[in-house]
Amino acid sequence: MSKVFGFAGENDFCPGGPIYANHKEQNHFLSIGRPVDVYFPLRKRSRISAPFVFTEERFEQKKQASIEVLPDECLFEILRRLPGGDERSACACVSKRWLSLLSNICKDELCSQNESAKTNTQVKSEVEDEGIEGDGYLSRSLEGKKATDIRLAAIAVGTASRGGLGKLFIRGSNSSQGVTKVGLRAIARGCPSLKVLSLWNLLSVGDEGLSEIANGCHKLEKLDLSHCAAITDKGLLAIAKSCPNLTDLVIESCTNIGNEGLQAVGQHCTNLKSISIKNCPAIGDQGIAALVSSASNVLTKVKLQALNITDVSLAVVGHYGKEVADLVLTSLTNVSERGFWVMGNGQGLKKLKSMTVTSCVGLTDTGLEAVGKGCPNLKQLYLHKCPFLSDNGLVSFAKSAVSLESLLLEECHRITQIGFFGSLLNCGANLKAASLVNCLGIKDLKLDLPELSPCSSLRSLSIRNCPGFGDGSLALGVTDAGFLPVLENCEAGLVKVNLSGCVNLSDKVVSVMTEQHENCFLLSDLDVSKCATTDSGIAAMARSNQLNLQVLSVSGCSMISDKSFPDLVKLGQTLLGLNVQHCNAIRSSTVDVLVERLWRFPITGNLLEVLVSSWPPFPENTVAKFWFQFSPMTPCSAEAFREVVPVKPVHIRLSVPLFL
Amino acid sequence: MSSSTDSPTLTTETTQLSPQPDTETAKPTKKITLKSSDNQIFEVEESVAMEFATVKSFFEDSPSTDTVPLPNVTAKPLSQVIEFCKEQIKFKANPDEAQKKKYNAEFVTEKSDKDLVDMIPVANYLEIKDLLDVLNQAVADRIENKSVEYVRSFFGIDNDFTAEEEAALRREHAWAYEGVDED
Repeated sequence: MSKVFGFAGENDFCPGGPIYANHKEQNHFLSIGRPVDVYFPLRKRSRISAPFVFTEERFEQKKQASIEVLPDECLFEILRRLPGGDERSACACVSKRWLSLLSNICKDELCSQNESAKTNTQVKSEVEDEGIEGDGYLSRSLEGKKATDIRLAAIAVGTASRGGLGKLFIRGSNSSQGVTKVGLRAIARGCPSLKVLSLWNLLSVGDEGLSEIANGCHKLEKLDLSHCAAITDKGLLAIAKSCPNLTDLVIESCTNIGNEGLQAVGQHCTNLKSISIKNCPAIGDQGIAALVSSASNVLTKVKLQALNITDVSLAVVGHYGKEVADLVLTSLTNVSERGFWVMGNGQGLKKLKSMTVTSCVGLTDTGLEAVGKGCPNLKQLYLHKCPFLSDNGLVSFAKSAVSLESLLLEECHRITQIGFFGSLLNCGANLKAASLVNCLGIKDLKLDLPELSPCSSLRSLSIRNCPGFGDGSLALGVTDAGFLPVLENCEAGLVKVNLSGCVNLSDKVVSVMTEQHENCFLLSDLDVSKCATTDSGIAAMARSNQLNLQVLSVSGCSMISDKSFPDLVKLGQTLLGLNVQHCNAIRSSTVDVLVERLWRFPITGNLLEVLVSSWPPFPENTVAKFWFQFSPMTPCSAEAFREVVPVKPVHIRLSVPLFL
Repeated sequence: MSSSTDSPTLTTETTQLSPQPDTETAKPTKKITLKSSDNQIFEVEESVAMEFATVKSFFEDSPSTDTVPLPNVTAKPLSQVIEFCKEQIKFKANPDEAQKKKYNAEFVTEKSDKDLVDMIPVANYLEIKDLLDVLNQAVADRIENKSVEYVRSFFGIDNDFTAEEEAALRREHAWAYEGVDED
């Protein structure tokens, strides 16, 4: 009988007892102690429930008329009649009860006549974690302790009348205090325009919370779930059924999402373009197969990381991934050579443009060769930590991958010069960039590479942190059998060469490139940092009349000393950027003079950036802060900069895309 | 509410509410007795009582009774509710939207905030939808353009946010506080 108004239907409002703590006051409309010979009609259960729990007795009687005596449903009726967004926002700050009631109002339950006029007064100021998207929707991000139901309710009420919320990012802190279904319900009610939702580390958000979102936010396009252990297939199913516009789905470390959830997504989300699944132990071949096969005509991006899937999943991707342009496979320990072979032979990946494989033991020579044959449009191949891949696989891949534009190999230790340069020589006419990083298999070998159709289009060559790449390789270059043919045959001309971290590489590489090579005038970007380059290398560069370097990095070359000063000044005629950080043999006073000379170079005067490691090359008040913006220097004012430099700082600022 | 000052006005109202049978209607209309929580007796015409959905269903369930106890309702708001319903019945017989609107507006503007707030649970309990609409809109209008502090003290509401929560809320809603009325 005490629940006559039904507002306590879910028992989550005033769990401690009736709303009126004090029974003695006469003017309570509801007196509990009365004999019950009275008529109470049976009512529907109220749809309103104030979710925030009040424990203390806050309803002390005031002498004044207290609006608080009204039951939730009455107060709800009043609040939904508030004339505009301003009033709703102001009332949201009155108390938790008001906020929670306001946040429970759906947009179509508002009855305000002059709403349209009010919304025209748009947003005036924004605070740190807020922003307006290009399409007029607001964006909110809550992190750590800030991620609470109250904040969410506040956002729901606050954004509703200002164009609506478009993006919401919640980064929980894994505490029990965090966001629950109550907060998400507020968002679902107040933000039907939500398109992007990201939930990270929210232990208390389960299927009910996600279902609230599904019920209210039908326009959802991107969903990112990470470390939400309470969400199961049921929650994902609700989203799949109610959000037909879903294009991007990211699931990471959600231990209770399994095959059924993915199946539902494949079945219902007919616009799904991108899927990324990482570290979900309950997801197996069945789920991936169901998803990829149903979304065959729309799925363009597939990312599978650290999953228990086997060759079967790769076979399905290879067969059904007709629209897949971007494929990322990481740490798939149960996938064998057969998986990659079947994927390549599946004849489905005709549109694949970019493939990245990391830490997959299954990517062997046979596997890579099959991929090369099956994906005629592959433009980018990035391989990291593929321990069983060797030269033969790489070369035979290169023979069939005619569209390849960019190749990167990192920590593939079985690859040697034979494979790397062999693949360059065998590649089609489109290869523009080749990189070799941290490959210990690169050693100075006596090589005899066959003369093949040269790779004429290469513009950027990078061999970084390969300690085995030294003068021996250069010797090959001298004998026209290895490095040099590559350089020579680059008809388009190598524009960028990065050899940083190859500690055994001495001046010879520089000498070879600058003195013996005709095409070197196209070289504009050279990075030999942390190599064994010395003063004589710099001198060789300075001597070359053809060299037209724009960016030079010799950082960490401790054998370059003050003697290089005149040569650096000469190179400075064409340089736009120079990195001499950590060159310990150059005295800071030399750097000072160098910087000043280069800066005021009378002919071109175009040096825009110099990176140095010693400070100060100038007194603080004479150097601009963006001059040294990428080095850990004390910044100084732009005004001071203008006094020193006779160039418009705006122009300089726009032309500093270097060293990034 | 139970103070003695209220009583005289109530008795006069009670007499007003039980007038002699209407001279225009030949048959005397049936009266229904309502009993408020503070034991005031109200005699109203059946047509008025039937405006109260709660009373109506009470009679449908047990037609023989003649006194309806209303344990949640005190005399003063009840008398005001009855007054409103009587007017509504007149408008029902003789529809005039403009007049009705005018009356409704006057009905709420002359009431004090306390009266308004007191009437809402009564109207809610008795399920008089028209009155609820009018009352809720009136209260909502009174909140218009007021600061948070004003609303709190005006309605006697405790602020139960922590300082941190309130600061975050106010930042989220900062735009809403521009151009509010002086307290």
